Amino acid sequence: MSPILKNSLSKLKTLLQKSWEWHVGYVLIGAFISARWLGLFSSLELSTLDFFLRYRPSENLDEHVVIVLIDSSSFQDDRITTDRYLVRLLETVLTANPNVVGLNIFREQTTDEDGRMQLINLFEIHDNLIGIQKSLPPNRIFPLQGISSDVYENQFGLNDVVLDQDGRIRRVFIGSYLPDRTSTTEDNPFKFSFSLILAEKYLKHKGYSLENLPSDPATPSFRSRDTRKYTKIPRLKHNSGGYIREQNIADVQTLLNFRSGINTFTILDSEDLLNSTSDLEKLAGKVVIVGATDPFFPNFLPVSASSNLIEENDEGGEIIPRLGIIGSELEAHSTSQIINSVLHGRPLIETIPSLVEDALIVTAGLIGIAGGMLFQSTLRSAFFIIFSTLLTIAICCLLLMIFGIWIPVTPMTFVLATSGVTYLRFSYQSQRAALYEAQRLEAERRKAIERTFDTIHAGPLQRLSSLLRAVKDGRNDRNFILGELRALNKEIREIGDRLRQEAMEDAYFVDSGRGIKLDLNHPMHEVFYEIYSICLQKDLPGFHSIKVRSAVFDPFNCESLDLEVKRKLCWFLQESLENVGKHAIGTTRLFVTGKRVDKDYTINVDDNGMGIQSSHIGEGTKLFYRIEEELKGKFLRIPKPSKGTICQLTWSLSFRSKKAAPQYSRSEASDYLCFKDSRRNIRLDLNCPIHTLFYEICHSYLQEDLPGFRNIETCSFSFDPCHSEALTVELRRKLCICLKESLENVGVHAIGTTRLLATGTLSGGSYTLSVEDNGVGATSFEIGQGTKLFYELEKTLKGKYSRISKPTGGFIWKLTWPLSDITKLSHRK
Amino acid sequence: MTSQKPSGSDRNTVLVVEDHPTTLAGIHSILKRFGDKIVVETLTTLEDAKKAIQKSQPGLIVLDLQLPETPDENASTETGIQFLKDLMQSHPYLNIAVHTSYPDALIRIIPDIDNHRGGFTVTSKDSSTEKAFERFSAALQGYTHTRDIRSLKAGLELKPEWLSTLDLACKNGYQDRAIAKHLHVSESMVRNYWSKIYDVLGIYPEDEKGEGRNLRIVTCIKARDEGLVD
Repeated sequence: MSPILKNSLSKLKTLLQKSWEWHVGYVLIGAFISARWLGLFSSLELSTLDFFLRYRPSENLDEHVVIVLIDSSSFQDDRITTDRYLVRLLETVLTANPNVVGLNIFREQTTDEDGRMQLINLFEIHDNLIGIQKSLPPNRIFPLQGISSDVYENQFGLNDVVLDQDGRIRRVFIGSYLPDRTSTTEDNPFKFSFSLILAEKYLKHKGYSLENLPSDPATPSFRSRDTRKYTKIPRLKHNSGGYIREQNIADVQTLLNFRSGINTFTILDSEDLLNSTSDLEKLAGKVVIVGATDPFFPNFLPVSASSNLIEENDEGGEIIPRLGIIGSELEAHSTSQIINSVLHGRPLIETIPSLVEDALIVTAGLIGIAGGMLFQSTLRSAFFIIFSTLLTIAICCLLLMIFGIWIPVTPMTFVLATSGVTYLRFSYQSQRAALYEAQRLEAERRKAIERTFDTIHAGPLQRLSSLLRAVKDGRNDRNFILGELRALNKEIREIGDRLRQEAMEDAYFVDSGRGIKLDLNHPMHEVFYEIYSICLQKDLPGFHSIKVRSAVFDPFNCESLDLEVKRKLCWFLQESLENVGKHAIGTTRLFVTGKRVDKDYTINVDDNGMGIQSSHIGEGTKLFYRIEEELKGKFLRIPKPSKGTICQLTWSLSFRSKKAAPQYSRSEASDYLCFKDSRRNIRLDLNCPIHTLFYEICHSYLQEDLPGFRNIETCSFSFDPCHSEALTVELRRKLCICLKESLENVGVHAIGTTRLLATGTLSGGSYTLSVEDNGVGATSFEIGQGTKLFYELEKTLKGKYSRISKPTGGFIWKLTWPLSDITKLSHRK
Repeated sequence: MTSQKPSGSDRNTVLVVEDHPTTLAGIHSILKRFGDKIVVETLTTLEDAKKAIQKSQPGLIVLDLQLPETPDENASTETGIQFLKDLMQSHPYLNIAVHTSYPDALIRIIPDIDNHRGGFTVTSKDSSTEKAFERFSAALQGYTHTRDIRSLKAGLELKPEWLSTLDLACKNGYQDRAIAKHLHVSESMVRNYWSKIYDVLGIYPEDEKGEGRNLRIVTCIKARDEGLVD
């Protein structure tokens, strides 16, 4: 087996396996086949056949069949279609020496005995004169009365028409058993159709004889005397093509492959012939069909073919092309298709076995399924489906035109398109699902990483920092350090175990380092208390001096919080308590409360220690902001005026945690709400009260290694709270930038500053933000970007900005704005 | 400070709730030291315990934490804690002695214990018979001893009310009735506060009384030492 074949086979196999996962395509195929079997597609398929046949390119005028029409205006009294007239006409026609003449006019009864005798005589003399009879129910019309049985047997054919369910004519008789003689149809005499007899007589002259097809005796065929080749006339069956259990298909019928276009047959008028105005030569050696029609009300039969008459009669050029054809034309088409098929190989319409049809439908469905899944890109798949649908239609059309093979194109295209689109939709959906899954996993992963870091931060990093502190403090006790290091080793190892454990039991806040396992399903106020109690057992410097402490946690309904949030709350409490332990040295009183006020819950950790000296924003603080964001709450860390710090987290009890919401825009949105300085890794939430922001900014920027900060001995920051809700986020950001700029100015220019005061004072309805140093001061007076911003803010806030140089050295930078105006300002906005 | 005694009887009923036979024997041997003063009733499931408490109004209940709800169920600390919480809710004056191998499990209900007005002591199962007896009898007398489960490294944990009580007593010299009036609580509540303060400060009322000291004065001195009172 060639590798390419092997490869494509294996590809096909995987495709099959993949498509088998969704049974829907196969169900669809089954549904289509059963719908077709039920006959739901029958009329659609027949209409499609009409459509295809009708829109074939036009064919030339037929050279074998000529129609002679008698004008029989039925509403006029002068009925010219008498037997006598017919005899005269037929005699004229016969003198032209045509091959066969067919009289497509019913003459069962007459009042003109003379004429009748002549007509019968004509039939007796000319064995190439063919008559008609209507032999199938409901009403039968018998041939000429008084004709000999021999002539009746050989020169009369039936010209019954068969209508389909939708009232159109698509098939014609080849022959039929006459009804009513005996009960079994096969014993009744068989009668060929008018058109077949005409064709047979004509073809006999050309060297073809009508025989039964050896492979299927019921099917008539013409055999060439020279080549001994059979030309089959396809026989319709009950389930041929689009017909589903069509009971109307009886005996021998075939589909009518009419000549397309409007220029089909030569039509001569009887009067013209009789008056010799028309060329009799036209009839020589042809099949002549003599018929009658009413030129004013032609009796058009519902066939998709176009009548030749209309164009001829229409002089205004307005053609009504698709009315159908008259009876004689139908006979002409029917005769012509057999003659042309035998002589020129013009195809007759054939159908394929039902099983092959079903197989084709299944194949089309499979192609649709494959098309829906073969390509990664949806667009390509869609293109493939459209392309293959169009291709199917084109192939079917060509097959019909060139070979006359009627293929179930309608169900094929339907099933192809439907299954294709279904699979397209499915694979699109599954791709989307996979994408969501990937995003979910990504979020999960991020969460896991965050949690890992939280764990590391709460455990070993704490120990490490306390060890560092101890070493810095000059504690060089070897055993102590060794012990600490051992403990550190153990803690780090335990993190692994703990994370594994947490992954298994999500309901626990586990700290196996200290052998604690808290069930987050317990009421949260109890869990808080446990954490509080566990934290305080830690050996942290801030806890050593505590004399009095108190912890009261109000119970609250925590059922709406999910475990992740609960865990975060626990982290918050633990972190803030450990902060006290690490930083708030000298704390004597520690009050921890969890209070429920209306719909909010506030956790408050209040100490009276030294306060956080380095205001570097550590991981802990970042975690606080994360929690704040997550709970849509408020985090505060306020230094108390006397001594100590209050660390507070408030959130609404009506908060409902959302399930793994995609987090695209969140970071962006929160960036907007934050004062960010990525260079220094600073991120402050602008929704916090503005004085806390000022405080944070002062602390963080003083960590900078700037020349102006190096000599600072004392610095003090105090910011009065102000009603900052009225300020827009943008204004807050600007105020923060202003403060930052002025501090940086001090750092860059005010070399030798020993005292730095940053204050925010509320007095008389206005707020003053000032930064005062005692350094050298800026020597250049160029207006920098920062200064521009100050003026801009001054304008917006309707305040006053000033930079005063002090007589003793140093500068005072000051921005004052009235609080009442801002309120108005924001209201106006 | 005194336990509620069942009316019409000078003997206290002691309910022992414990499902483990060995431990039960240990508890019985401890309780034997009480002699005739008590009547011991033993129960093995929480369900029975609930019924018995309704019926007999015991002077003391000795409770394990790991207990089954019904005989068929497995013993779990969780059900024990829940039972204890409910018990303290429904019988705020009941004297309780918890005798358990896992005293730390009680940490999360310390606030509830602090609010409990009857005696409450905790004994670890591995503590000596002498100690256990002391605790049981302290509980029977309505005292509180929970130092084993409190974190004592970082200062003393007091509820704000207790601090006020100390302030009023030691700085202003008020008596219980006056304190109760100031704090808008009942006198028995103030006595309950005292019991809790003794516990926090590590004062053993029996010992102090035995040595002939005034409990309140001893407490004030100790509170000053600890910095609770300026």
